[in-house]
Amino acid sequence: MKQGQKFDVRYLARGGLLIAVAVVLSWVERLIPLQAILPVPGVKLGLANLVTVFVLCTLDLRSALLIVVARVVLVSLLFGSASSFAFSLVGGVLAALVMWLLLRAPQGWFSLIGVSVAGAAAHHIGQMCAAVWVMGTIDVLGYLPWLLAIAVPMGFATGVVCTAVLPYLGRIKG
Amino acid sequence: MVDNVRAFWRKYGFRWGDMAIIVLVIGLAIGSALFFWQSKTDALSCQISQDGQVLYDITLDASSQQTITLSGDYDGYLVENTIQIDGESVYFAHATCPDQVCVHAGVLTRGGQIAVCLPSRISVKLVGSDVENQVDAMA
Repeated sequence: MKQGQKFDVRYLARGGLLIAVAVVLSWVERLIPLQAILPVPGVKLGLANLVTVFVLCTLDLRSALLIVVARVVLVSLLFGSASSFAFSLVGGVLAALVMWLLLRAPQGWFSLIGVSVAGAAAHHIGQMCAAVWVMGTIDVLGYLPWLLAIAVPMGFATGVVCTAVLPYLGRIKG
Repeated sequence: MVDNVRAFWRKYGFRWGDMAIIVLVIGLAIGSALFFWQSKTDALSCQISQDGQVLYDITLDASSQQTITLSGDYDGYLVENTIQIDGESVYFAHATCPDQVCVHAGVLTRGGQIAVCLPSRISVKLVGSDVENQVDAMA
């Protein structure tokens, strides 16, 4: 939304749609029992990151942060807990900020694959910082190597999906 | 095959910067693993903490046998965790929380390994005995 614009219904509708997509993707993510294979708390596919990348590409940082916060609040209310709220919020916001910075790099430096790998890594680092704060111990950082190693294939996959999907989603003119 | 791979890169616009990011993340993973994981040592002790406070600090040997039951508050629900010390290893035998991450974490046998239960904020950590010496040597 441009500054000074009073009330943009299209922006509101599109924002609501994107939040809904993000919530559904988070839900789908929870159906996949990844933690049974890799017993590390916080392991996930990062599907909701797709929405953040898309918003950063088509709208702006402010909208991306708003959508991340809305998604985290809704997902925590629906399926999560107070501690999962803190983890997802710090992780999601940090991921959005890192990806925003990388997308501002000169064109041709990074593709969406690199951006989303960095976003996944940032999400896990943010989550770990929140975990250190909630648990009151730095011992949980022992999980960080696993989470970072997993961030590479997961971020790669979401990056490829995003590159494939972006041209089609971009047709929705707001 | 090679052409397919090339076409894939062209289509998805893989850049050298992406490779740099991937290498950086893997480097961070290896770096943090070296920093936080300790090698196998002869003498181990098991630290069980809740909310950042160490409740138990038990030195393990081959004959150690102990069962510890702790409970925590999880958004109003009571979560009960049973921690089993079995010789020079320790594991979460049972948990009443929904995610079961601590139980899936399996048996800890090496210094530096941890298992946590986020809902009840309990962490179980194995500490190798020579770590203290290393810290002393550095200080």
